[in-house]
Amino acid sequence: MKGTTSHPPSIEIFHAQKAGEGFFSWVATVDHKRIGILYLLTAFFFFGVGGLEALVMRVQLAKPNNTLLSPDAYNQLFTMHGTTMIFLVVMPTLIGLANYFVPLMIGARDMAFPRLNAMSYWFLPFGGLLLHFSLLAGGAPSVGWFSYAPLSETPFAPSPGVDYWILALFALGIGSISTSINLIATVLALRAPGMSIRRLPLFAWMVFVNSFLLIMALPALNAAIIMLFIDRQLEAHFFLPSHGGSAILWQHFFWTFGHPEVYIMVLPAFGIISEVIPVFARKPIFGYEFVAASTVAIAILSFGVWAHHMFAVGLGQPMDLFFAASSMMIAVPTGVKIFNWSATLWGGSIHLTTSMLFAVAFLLQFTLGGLSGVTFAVVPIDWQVTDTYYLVAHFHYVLFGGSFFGVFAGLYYWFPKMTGRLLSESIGKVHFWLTVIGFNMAFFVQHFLGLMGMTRRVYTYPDYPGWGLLNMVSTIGAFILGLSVLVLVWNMAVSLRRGTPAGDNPWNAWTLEWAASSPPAEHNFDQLPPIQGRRPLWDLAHPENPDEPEASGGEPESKRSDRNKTGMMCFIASEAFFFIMLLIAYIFYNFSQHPNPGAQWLNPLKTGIFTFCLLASSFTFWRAEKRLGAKDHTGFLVWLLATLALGGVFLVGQGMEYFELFLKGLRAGTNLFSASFFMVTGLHGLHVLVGLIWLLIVLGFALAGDFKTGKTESVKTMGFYWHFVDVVWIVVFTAIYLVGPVS
Amino acid sequence: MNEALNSVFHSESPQAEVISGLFILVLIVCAVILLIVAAMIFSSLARFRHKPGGLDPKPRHGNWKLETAWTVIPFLILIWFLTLTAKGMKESNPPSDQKPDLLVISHQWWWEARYPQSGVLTANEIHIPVGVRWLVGLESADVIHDFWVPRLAPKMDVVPGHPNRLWLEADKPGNYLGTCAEFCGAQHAQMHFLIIAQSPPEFEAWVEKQGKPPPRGLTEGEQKGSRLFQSMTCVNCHTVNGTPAKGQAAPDLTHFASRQTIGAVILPNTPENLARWLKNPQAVKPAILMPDFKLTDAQVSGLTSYLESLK
Amino acid sequence: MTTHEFLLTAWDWNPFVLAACVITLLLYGLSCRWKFSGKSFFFLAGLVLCFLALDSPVSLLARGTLFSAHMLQHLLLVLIVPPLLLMGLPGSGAHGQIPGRLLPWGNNPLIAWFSGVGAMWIWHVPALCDAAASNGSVHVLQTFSLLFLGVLFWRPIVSARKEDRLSPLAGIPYLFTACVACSLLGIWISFAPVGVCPVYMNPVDQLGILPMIRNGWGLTPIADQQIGGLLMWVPACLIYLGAIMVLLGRYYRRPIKEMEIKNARKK
Repeated sequence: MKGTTSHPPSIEIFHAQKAGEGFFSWVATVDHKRIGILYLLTAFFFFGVGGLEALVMRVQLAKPNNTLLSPDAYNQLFTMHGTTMIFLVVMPTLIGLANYFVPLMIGARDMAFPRLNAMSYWFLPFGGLLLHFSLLAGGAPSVGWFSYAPLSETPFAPSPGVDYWILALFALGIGSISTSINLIATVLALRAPGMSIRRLPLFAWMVFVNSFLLIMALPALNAAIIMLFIDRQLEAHFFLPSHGGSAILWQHFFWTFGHPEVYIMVLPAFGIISEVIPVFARKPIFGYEFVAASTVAIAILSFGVWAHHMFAVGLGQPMDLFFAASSMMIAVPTGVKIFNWSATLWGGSIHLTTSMLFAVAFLLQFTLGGLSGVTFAVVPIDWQVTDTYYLVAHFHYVLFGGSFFGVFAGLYYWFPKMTGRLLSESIGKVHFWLTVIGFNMAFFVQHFLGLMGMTRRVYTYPDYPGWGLLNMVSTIGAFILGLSVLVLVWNMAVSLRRGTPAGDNPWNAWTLEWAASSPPAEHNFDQLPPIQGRRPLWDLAHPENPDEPEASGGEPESKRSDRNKTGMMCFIASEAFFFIMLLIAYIFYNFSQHPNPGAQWLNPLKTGIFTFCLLASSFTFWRAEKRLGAKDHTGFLVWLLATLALGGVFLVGQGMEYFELFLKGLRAGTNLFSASFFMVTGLHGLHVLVGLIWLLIVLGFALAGDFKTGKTESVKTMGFYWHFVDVVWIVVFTAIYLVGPVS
Repeated sequence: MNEALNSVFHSESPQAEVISGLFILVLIVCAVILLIVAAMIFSSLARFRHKPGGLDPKPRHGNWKLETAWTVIPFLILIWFLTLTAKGMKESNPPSDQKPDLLVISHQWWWEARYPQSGVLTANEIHIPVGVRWLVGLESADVIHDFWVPRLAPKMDVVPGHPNRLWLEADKPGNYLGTCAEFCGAQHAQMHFLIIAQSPPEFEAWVEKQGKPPPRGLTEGEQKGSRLFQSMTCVNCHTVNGTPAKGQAAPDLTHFASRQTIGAVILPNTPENLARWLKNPQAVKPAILMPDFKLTDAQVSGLTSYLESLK
Repeated sequence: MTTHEFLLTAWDWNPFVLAACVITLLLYGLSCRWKFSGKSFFFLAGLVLCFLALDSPVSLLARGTLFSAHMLQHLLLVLIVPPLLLMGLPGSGAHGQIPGRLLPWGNNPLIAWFSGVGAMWIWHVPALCDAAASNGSVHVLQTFSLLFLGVLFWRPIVSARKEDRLSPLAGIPYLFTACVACSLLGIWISFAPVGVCPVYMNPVDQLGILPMIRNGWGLTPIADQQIGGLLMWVPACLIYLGAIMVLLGRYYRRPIKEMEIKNARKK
C-alpha cells in the first residue's frame, strides 16, 4: 500500500450528480459541503436573531426599575433567546462543521446517506419557522427554555406558544437524530483505507462520540415533550400536580436530555480546539489517547449527572450526595483535556493567528466556566447560587466562552478551506479583542450579581447597592460583543470579495481536509495521500520522521461496517431509549401506592392472541428473508404478505381494544393510567403502522422486481426495524398486561 | 427595605454561615487551579512563540506519568470536595418527621405564611424570633417557586405536590430580604418577601396582635372605605378577620397596615403608594391577578384610609 | 452499642469463608510457585475484598438489617471481586482454560452479558431478595451465584487470557449496555414507592443495633433503600465506566508505548 491510494469508486447514482449553479441547486443539494454551509448560514442567521434578543434584554436590564419591556415580553425574549441559541445556533453550527469536515477528514466522498443529510438540514429551517410562527399565533413561549411544568401547562400558559415550542423541538430533534445516525455511519463505514478509528482526527472522533450522545439523549426530550403535548392537547395530567401528576418527573426527563445536551454543545468545540491548537503550536496533540478517551468518559458520565440541576428541588440528601459525586467525577476527564491542550502549547512554536487566539481564550474561559461548574457540584453552594446570575455567568462561560470561541477558532481555521480565501488577520484581531473584552465584560460581572442575590430571569430589579452599576457594565459588554459580530461579518464580506487566495493548505496543517483543494471539488479528493498515521500530511512532508514508523506498510485493511446496518442499528438504539423513557413514565404513574383505575378493563388473554400474531409476523419475516436469500421470489412474496397480514391483524386488534375502552369511557385525559396506557401502546402502534407502510413499500419493490438483482439490503434493514418493534411489544405487553399496575 | 448588601457572604445564620465558609474555601482552591492553568498557558505563549525562520519543534506525543498525575490529583481534590459537601449538607438537613413551625405557601406572585401553633396568618412579611431554629414547611398553590433568603438559608424549591422542608434561623434582629428564585411566570421578578427577625418578646407581642381582629372604632372616612371593601369584589379574594371578607386567593389583609411594604415587598406601605396600587394595580405590577377595577379617586381614598387603619 | 463497638465486634469469622479464602490463596500461591508479580496484587485484593464482603459487618447488616449493606455486598461480589480475581490469574497455563472447559458456552458474549445483568436483576425480585436476606442457605446460594455470574460477565473483558477477550471496541457497547441495564434497576430501586426487599423495611433486630442505625446513623428504611438503589446506579456505573477506560487504554496503548521507546532512543 505504499504510495498513493485511489479513493474507492462510488457506486450510487446520486453521487455522480453534478453541482449546479443558482438558488435551486442549493435547495436540491445533497452534497455534504453545501449542506454544511447551509447549516452554518442558517445558524448564523439565527445567531443574529438570538443575539438581538439578548441585546434587547440587556437594554431592559441596564438600569434598575426599567420599564422598557413588559414582563411578558421579557419572558418571551429569554425563552426564545435560550431556545434559539441552543437548538438553532450552537447545535446547527457544530453539526454544520461536522457535516463539512468529518467526511473530508476521514477521506470520504460524502456522508453515508446524502439524501438523509439533506432532509436533516431542512428540518432546521422548518423547526426554526415553527418556533417563530408562535409570534403570529398569540405570542412566543414565555416559560423558559426548559419549560418547567406545571408553568408550561395549559392552566398557566394558555397561549399556544408552548405548543409551537414543542413542535419545533420535535422537528429539530428528528433532524439532529438523523444527522447523528448519518455521522456515525459515515465514520464507521466510509473511512478511507488506513484511517483506523485509532487515527481519527480528534474533531472527527469527538463528533463521532457526540453523535452517540445525541441519539441517546434526544429521545428523553422527545418523550418529555410528547407527554407535555398530550397534557396540553388531550387534557391529560402527566405533569399537573393538582391532578396527581408530577412536576418533578418533567425535570428528571428534561435534564436526562438537558445535561448530555450541554456536552453535545461543547464536545465538538473541544474537537475544534484539538485540531487548531496542535497546528498553530506546530506540535502533535499531547496525549491523543487521553484526549480521545476522556471524551468517552465525559459522554458516558454526562448521562449520570442530570440531577445536579435539581439539587434545590428537595430530592433528599442521599440523591443529592450521589449526584454531587458523579458531577465532580466529570470534572476529571474535562480537566485532563485542559491539561493536554496546555501541554500541547508547551514547547511548541506558537503562531498567534486569530484562530489560535480564539483557541487560547477558549482554554482560559472554559477553565473558568468549568471551575465555577465545580462549585455547583458542591451541593450546599449550589443551594445558594443556583438560579442566580452566578449560574447565568457560569453557563455563558461554558457555552459562549467555550463553544462559541471554539466555533470562532474553527471558523478562522476552516474558512479558507470552505471558500478558498483567507479571512483578514488584522480585522480578525479586532474581532477577537472586541469579542474577548465584550464577552468578559458582559458575563464576568454577572458572577458578582449572582452572589449579591440577583436571581435569573427577572425582567426588572430594585435599585440595590451595586446592582445598577454592574448591570450597566454587563450591558455595555453585550453591546461590544454585538459590535464584534458586525466586525466578523465585515471580515467575511471583505474576504469573499477580495481576500487573499488561501491555497490548499495555508496553515501547513496535517489532516486530510487540507489535502483537498480549497474549496474542495464536488468529489472531495482527486487522490488521497497514503494514511499511515494520525497526521497523513505530516508523514507525507516528513518521510524521515513519520508519526507511526512501525506502520510503514500501512494499516492492515480492517473491515468497514455496512452503512445500512450501522444506520439502522443506531436508529433502533435511539428508538429503544425512547421506549425506555416511555416505559419509565408508565411505571412511574402506575406502579405506585394508589394507581388510577382502568387497568382492570384490560384483557391480557385477548391482547395476548394479537400479541401472538405480531410475534408470528417476526417469524414470517424471517422466513421471507430466508426465501429471498435462496432466490425464491414467490416464497418471499408469500411470506412477506403473511407478515403484512399478521401486522395488520395486530393493529386491528389494538383498534378494537381502544374502541372497547372508549365505550367504557376511558380517554387520554381520564386519569394517569389511561394517559400513560394510550401513550405507550399508541406510540408503539404508530411504529407498527410505520413498519406496515414500509413493508408495503418493500412489497412494491418486490413486485417491481427490484430484488431480483440481488440488492436486498433494504429488506434486511427493514427486518431489523420490524423485529425491534416486536421486541418492544414484548416488553410493553409484559409491563402493562402481565405485571400490570401493582400497589 | 434593605440597607445591607443581600449577598450570600453576609450570612446571618449558622446554616448560611457554613455555606459561605465552604464557598470561600472552594473558590480559593478553584482560583488556584485557574491560576496554574493560566500560568502554564501564558508562560507557553511567552516562551514558545514562533520565530521567523524557526523550525517546527520535535513531535512529542504524550507522557503517561504526567497524564496520571493530572488525572489523579484533580480526582483527589474532588474527593476532598465531596467530603466537604457531605459535611456541609449535614448542617442543613431538616427532619421529615417533625411538624413545621412555619408553613410558607407560595402563590403567583406572593407568599402566604401560616403559623400552625398560633394560627396566625400573614403575607409577604414573615416574622420569626431571633436565635431560634425554625423548621419551615414549603408548599406551592400553583407552579414551582423557590424560597430564598440569601443571608439566612440555602434556597429550596417550592414544588406543588412535593412539600419541602428548610431550617430557618437568624442570628440578629432585622429585615432580611428574600425572593423567589425559580422562574414562575410573568411577575417572577417582583415576588419578594421579608424575613423580619425579632427578639422573642417582640415576636410574641407581634403574634398576639396578629391573632386578634383589627381594632374597631373607625373614623367616618374609614367606615366608608370599609363599606366599599365589603360591597365590592375585594372580599372574593381577600380576608379581613372579624368582617365578612373571607377570600382565600390573595393576601390576608387583617393587619395590612402593620406591614412595611405592599405588592410582595416592592413598594413601602404608604397611603400614596397604596392609592397608586388601588388606582391601577396593573400599572404598578403588570400581569398580576388583581385586575384594574377602574376605581374613582373617591373610592380609592376611601379604601386607602380603611386599609391603612387595619393595624 | 456504639458504631465503634459495632465495627469491632460484628465480624462473622465464618469458618467456611475463612477456609475458602485460605485454600484459594494456597492454590494460587502453589500455582505460581510463590513468585508474586504485580498481577498477584489484583488477585490478593480480590480475595481480601471477597473476605470483607462475606465476613465483615457489611455481611451482618446485609442479612436482613440494611438494604444498602446488602447492595454493597452484592456489588462487591458481582462487579469488583470477579474482575480482580480474573485479572490476577496468570495469562497462560492450564487453569486459565478451566472455565472454558467447564462451560463451553461461557465464552459466548451474549450469555456473559445476560449473566452479569441477570445477577443484578434476578436477585432483586422481591421474593428472592427477601429469601436471600432471611434464609441462610439461600444466602449461600446467592453468594456463589453472584461470584459465578460475575466471573462469566467479566471474562470477555478482563480475562487474563487474551484469546478470551472481546476486542476493545466491541467491549465498550458490551459494558455500556450493561451499565444502562444496571442503572435502570438502580433508578427503579431509588424511586420505588414500595420496599424492593420487604424484609429490610421492618428488620428483626436480633443484635440490638437498630437504634444505632436509625438514630445514630439517621438511616430510615426509605433512605436506606434509596442509598441501595443509588449505589447500584452511580458507583456501579463508575465501575463499568472505569472498565471502558481500561479497554480504551488497551486499544490505544500499543502504538504509544512503542513511540515512547523510540523517542527515548532518539534522545
